[in-house]
Amino acid sequence: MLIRGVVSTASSVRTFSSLSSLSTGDSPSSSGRAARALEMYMRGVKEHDKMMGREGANFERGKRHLANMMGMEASTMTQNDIDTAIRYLFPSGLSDKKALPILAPPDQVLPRLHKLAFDEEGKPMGARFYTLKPAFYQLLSEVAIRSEKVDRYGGEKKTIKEKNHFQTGGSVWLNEEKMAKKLGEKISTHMYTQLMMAMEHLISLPGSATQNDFIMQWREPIAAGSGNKLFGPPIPPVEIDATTNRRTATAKADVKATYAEVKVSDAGKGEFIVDGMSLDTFQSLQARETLLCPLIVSDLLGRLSITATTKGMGGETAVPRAVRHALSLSIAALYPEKKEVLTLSGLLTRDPRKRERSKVNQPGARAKWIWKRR
Amino acid sequence: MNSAALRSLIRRVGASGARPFSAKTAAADASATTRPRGAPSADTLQKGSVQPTVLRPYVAPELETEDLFGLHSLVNVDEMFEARLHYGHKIGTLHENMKWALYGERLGVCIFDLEITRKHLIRALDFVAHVVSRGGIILFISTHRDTMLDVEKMAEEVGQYAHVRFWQEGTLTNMKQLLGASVRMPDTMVFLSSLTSMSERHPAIIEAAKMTIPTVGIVDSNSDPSYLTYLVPSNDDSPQAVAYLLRLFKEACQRGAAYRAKQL
Amino acid sequence: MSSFVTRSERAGNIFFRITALIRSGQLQWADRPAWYDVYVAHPPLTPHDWNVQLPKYNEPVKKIFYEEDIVRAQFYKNHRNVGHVSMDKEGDSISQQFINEYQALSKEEPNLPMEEMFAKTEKRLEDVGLYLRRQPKKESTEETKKASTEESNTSGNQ
Repeated sequence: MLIRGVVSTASSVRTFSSLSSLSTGDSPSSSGRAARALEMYMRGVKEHDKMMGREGANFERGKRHLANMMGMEASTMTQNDIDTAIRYLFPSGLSDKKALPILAPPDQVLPRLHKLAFDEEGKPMGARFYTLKPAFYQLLSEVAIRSEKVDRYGGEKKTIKEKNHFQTGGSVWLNEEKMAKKLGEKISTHMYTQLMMAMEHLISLPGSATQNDFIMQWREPIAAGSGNKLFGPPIPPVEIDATTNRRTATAKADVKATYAEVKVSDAGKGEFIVDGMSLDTFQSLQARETLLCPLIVSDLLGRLSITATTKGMGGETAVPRAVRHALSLSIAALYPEKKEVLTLSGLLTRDPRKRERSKVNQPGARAKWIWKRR
Repeated sequence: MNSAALRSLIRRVGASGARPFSAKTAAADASATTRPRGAPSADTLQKGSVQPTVLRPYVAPELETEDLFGLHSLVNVDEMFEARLHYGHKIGTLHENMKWALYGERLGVCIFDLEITRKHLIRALDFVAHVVSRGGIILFISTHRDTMLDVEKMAEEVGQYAHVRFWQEGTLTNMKQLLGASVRMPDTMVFLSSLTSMSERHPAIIEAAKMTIPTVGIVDSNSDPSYLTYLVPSNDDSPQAVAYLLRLFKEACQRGAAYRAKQL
Repeated sequence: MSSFVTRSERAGNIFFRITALIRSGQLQWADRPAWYDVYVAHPPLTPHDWNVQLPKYNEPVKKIFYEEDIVRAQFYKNHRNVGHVSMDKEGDSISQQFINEYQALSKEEPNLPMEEMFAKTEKRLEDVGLYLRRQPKKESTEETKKASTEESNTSGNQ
């Protein structure tokens, strides 16, 4: 028999650390004490439920009044409508969100009381109860157990595809707040860091794709074009191949007079083809570094399939630079979580510099004839 | 009672031939006389505070049974040897208060006397089994990286509790504030490793001592055995040794629970 | 009540403190904790006050040596890298096999000097198939391998 008890505050509830012995008659009051503590818990539950009932009724009444005032139907009013109506009726110049008036269901406004679950003997539920964060540490243990299981997956496979890594594209880890909400417990930054380290380790193992369902519980999908379409770099849309489930993005970029179009797919073997030629066609180190820069910055070296075509005059650096810009845009499309790193390194910024026109009475754009004082 | 009076009491009790912490003498007394009823007198309690066996007639008779759960036959020296329980750490890290448990030192490595370990392990298992049979909560604690998940798993399997993570200061002493309400404390704490990963005494040992919760501690040669109630000198680092100990504690918990289920 | 238990862990061990509480009347005998009875019936075998000095506190630790350690030491001096010791494998290790053979030999021929004894023991082991020294290259490669490679399937530690 499980009783979910809401614990009432402080003084009246005693810590009960003793219990009835098996031999009869020796300690009759211990069982009485347990029963009394149980009574307190049940009373606390009843009080809480009564209070929530009252607040709920108040909310409904307020909603009806509001609907009446605004000329809406109470039954069809959504929370959005309520918020808009409140903002209209009570315009406020206050900046603090917590200072503004709210009309919302009580479970959204009132602090959630932590309900402790225990059985009729007073034993808490869950083996990790005394860690004070049972849900969090259960998750950590589960990640460890799954990592162990995955670790035994054949690590001798050679190619990336065979290594069967979990694909991180298109999703990000739940942040601290969302994680805390999901687990139902407060999480410190240190604990969150621990969890992230454990999760990242799990993902890094070959065979982590077998744990796809579990990992996706703790990640949320992020839309590629979630940014403002008017401003910001022109990140292309992502196409998903229906049969192979491969994600591809094609970006266009130009540098000076050179125009490049780059097609990038994930789950690739690491091929990088520019105009039908491989990377070693570019003899200069600078050109090679330029082309590989986005992959190094976003830590996706060898994980993508890249095909690039160029048009235009194309100088020694212009072709690599154009391909680099388009490649960065494609990576930002496929892996939105890498977008921040790429912008910080300046790879998503279009270089607007063009050859400056030469002016009359000058040898070039800026150079002047020799000036003699006298 | 100040320490001088305590010392004189111990001397008096010792002089009469009754050894402290000895089960045999008082058992002989108990069988001779009829069992007294009700609570013991203040005088008996004063004697009992240093020699607990004096209070034996006042506790339940079924507790007198030497091996109620049949755990004594489970512990034998050969199995302990194969499970590598006799390996201690190097002689340089030996704690002075662990010398009593050593057979000797073999090329710098401390070797536990498995006969001593056997006696202590049996006593510890009996204690745990009896507490479980009385509906008690056992909390298993270990911060040993390699074996902590096994400890958790075992605790879950027997329906008890485990704490293998960072110990929040005040978990026991300040529970009301941390949890927002008073909850039932563990009745016994079993330390599969009494040191943290920093090789310091686990903070839960002191907290249990403060809250008068009895502790069973697996003490290695480098551990400090103070504040622990029941000591089990043994290797606490090898996975095989920990697996062996976990198996025995699991058996003790299960037998205790089965006994309780039969009584209820 | 138990809330009056002193938390001073050095005032006395837990049993002492609870008993003192019962004696003074702060805690009723009927309200004593459940572990109390179990403790009385099965008390710890060692005293557990916080500052107790357990036996042999100031004594040095006995060194464990056996008579055959002389043989063992010389064996390892001669053959430093013979055989891996596997904790999981059944049966005697190579050094133990050598010692067993040596002891059997010393019963048969008690008055030989140690070097001769060693040579004879090695020969005896070779007859059984256990090679301790690298043999000159022969036709069959099996016999030329050192004893260590025979043990190469097993890995070392515990």
